[in-house]
Amino acid sequence: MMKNILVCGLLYTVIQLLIPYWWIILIIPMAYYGIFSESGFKSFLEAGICIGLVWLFYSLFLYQTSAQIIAERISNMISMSNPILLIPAVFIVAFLGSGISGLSGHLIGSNFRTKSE
Amino acid sequence: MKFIKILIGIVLIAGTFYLLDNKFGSIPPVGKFISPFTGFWQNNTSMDSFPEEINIPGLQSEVTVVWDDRRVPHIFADNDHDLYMTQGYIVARDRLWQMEFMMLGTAGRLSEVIGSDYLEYDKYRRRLGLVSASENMLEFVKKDEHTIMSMQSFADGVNTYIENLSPADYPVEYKILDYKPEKWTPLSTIIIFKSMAWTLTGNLDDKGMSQTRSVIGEEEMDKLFPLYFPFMDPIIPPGTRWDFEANIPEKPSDDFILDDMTSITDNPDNYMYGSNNWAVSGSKTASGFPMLSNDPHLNLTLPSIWYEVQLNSPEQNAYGYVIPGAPGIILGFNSNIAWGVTNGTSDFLDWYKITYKDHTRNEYLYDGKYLKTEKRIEKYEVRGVGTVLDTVIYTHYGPVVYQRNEKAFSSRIPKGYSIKWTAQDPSNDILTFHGLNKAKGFEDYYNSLKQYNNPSQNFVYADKENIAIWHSGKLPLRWEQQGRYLLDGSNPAHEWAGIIPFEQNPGIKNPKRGFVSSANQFAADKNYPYYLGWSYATYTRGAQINKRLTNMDDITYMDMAALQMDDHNLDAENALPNILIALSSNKLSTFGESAVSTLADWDNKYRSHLIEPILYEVLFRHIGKLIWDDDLVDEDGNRLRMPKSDITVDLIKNGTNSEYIQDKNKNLLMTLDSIVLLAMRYTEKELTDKYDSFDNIPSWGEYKSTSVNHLANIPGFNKPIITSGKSGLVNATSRTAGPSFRLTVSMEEKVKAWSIYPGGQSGNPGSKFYDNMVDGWAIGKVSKINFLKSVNDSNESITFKTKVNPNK
Repeated sequence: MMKNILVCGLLYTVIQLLIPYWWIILIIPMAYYGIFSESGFKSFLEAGICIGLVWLFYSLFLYQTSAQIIAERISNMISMSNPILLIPAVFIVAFLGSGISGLSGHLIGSNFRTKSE
Repeated sequence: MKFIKILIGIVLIAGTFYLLDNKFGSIPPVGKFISPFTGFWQNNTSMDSFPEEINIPGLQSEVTVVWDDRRVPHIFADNDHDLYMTQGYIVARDRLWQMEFMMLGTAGRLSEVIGSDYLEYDKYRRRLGLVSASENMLEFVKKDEHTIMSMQSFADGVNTYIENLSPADYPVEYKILDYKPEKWTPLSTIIIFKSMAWTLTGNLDDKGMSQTRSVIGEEEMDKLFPLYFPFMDPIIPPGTRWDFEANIPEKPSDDFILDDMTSITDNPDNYMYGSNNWAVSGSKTASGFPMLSNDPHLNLTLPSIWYEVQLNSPEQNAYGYVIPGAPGIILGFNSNIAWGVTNGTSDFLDWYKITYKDHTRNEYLYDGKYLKTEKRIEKYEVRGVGTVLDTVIYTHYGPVVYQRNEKAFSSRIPKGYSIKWTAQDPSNDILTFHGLNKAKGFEDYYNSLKQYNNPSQNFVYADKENIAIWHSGKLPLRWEQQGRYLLDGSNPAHEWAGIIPFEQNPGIKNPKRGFVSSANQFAADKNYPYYLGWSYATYTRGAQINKRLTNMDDITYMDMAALQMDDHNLDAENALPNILIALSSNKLSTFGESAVSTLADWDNKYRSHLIEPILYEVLFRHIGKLIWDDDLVDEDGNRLRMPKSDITVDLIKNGTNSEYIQDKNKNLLMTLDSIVLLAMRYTEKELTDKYDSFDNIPSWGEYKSTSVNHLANIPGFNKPIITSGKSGLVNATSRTAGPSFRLTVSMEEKVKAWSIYPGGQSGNPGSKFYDNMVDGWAIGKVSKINFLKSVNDSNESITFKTKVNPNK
């Protein structure tokens, strides 16, 4: 599990830094778990955790270094009491998005993983 | 089974993508927006750092941008082409979303990015002819090589910046509203000019005036809406003689009857006028050189309407304020001259009733014959809806903004009338500003103003020896009061007789009194022969500025900046003594007594910590309502046009027996005393309902609650402030409008200048420089401008240099 989370997270981060579109969080887990999935639940959980954590740590890093002003304004915009709450929100969105994409990868790839399954 | 699994997988991934990639109502696309790699997190302070190098293909040679500690770019180029191209890139870097949003708003295209909620607003913009006027102007400016070069170079610079943006770099507003920047064109620049033209036109009074006249008659109109206001102190010193023969058209004898009596519901009495400028001659300054100040009043917005920049090429070395989207400098100074504007407020927009031949609206009556209309199809690509078409009828006057059977966006627009507006005429106003950027002296200033069209502006001027002011823009040649009321489009006698020759526009150079000034008031007194309009600003700012300048000597920049913050209310000075006398002759409640004793010691200043301005404002408003509300209503109870505050003040100060004092509704014999007493009761009720007791009334600054709001009014992006002043005072800071910058220039050997504006250089709400000047602006601070002579000018305030390369 740990290995999958690390490899998937690393792969995602490298590709995300090269391609500036958010939907990379859907593509990478789908492709990764299309090939390496063990079960639907594990695919969902691992994909969700690996990318959720990348988003969580990166947004936390930005918040601590340069994005405090914008985070405050956005939290005001959505009537959120404290901008720090944006960080768990980021995690939840990434967890659900990439988790579902990991699960999708598992389902779509099931046809091609007959032997291993 | 496997097929079903694959299908479920595809549906899940497609559904997730759809949910996270799309905007739902006002909720931004969640995945895109919240991603730390591409979403709002990227609009952080790292964007504040300057690039060491920029590549702009198409530059003819290398350009240097010098940045100072106020974050102002000083652009040094070998030619104007490179200068404007780099300006386009740099302005887009700081203000891309703002300039495009302003352009879309004026071009009637907001529904493309926001949706159908803005369709009627968009239609209103296009039906006013703002896009067709921009197209006319573009065709005209194409004839001038310099102007089209400047606009194309500017657009190329903007587009180079856009082409190099990744979605992660888009300004955050694009991410919130979920759209992309589009290519900038010379037409986009012209639309920005028309946006300002419309903002500064403002005089949509004709319908309300016609309705009011139909109820109270011509004679009363002249009393309540006089051509020359009480207490007036015009721009050109009173008594100035005009040495030209005026060729004034005769007023036709026929009387035109209004037929659009739909009631006006939106702000008929909203006088948003603002802006002050003045220049003092060297005889009145400590340095011995002339000085100039300017503070144009506009809606306070973030990003600020202005961007500060220095432009240097062998052709020019100009510094000042630009409107993002326009090449060159709009207001500022160069090594030889300084200039500034206030809105001229003359009337150059009229409404002509159109009589169609039949329901096809193909022809309309004019001079006993039928002329053909033109039909312009306007196309709207409404977000979430698709294409919407709209046909607009044009006559030779201009577009018929709304037909009789249509619902007007603004009830101030008369239905079935064509709009005639000087901004529809082809002109090259950009050349005026570029001429001023390069001007070497008075002659260049004068010649630049000659080609200026719209909107009318009072251009103030100072060089190292002279001062001047000119009421500029194309002013229609009309009979007295022509266009004050709605006009008959079938009658050629109702047409404008032409344009007043520029040589006869009101203007003055080096007047004896040693200063020139303007504050949107009448340009000249009754000696000036032409009728220019009537709906000017009241005397309060103009008279106060002139009074203070008359008494000032050895003037320094601090005196000029202090005058810009003047918050003395001449209305209160004139009206309050009689109000207090009226109150003192009656028995008052505890609240009333507290109010009177507080107001009795008041110096008529609108300081943010005081409560007196609240007491006076509320009391004066109730007095006004008691005087006028019963007189100025039609048979159906619709409110008519209200007189301006100076008429009420005049009545309080001088006209205690006026018939308007009587309550016509209740047939009561009122006196000024009884009105003031009743108004005090209403004031007590209003303020105690809101704040419980006299002691709980907040300060003026809190009560007024000024806010510098984001251009799209995005919550969290606004900046509320506590500040002095109010509209109508020299420091005309109201709730949402005020001095959009404050600038003072001293025309010494080496020109010095000081300024501030209520915003920041960066348009990024995530930047430290988005609103960093607002707090200083609110308390009247100014900071010294770094006006550089050359790229190598050493100065401790220089923080960074960016090399701009011609090649990729």
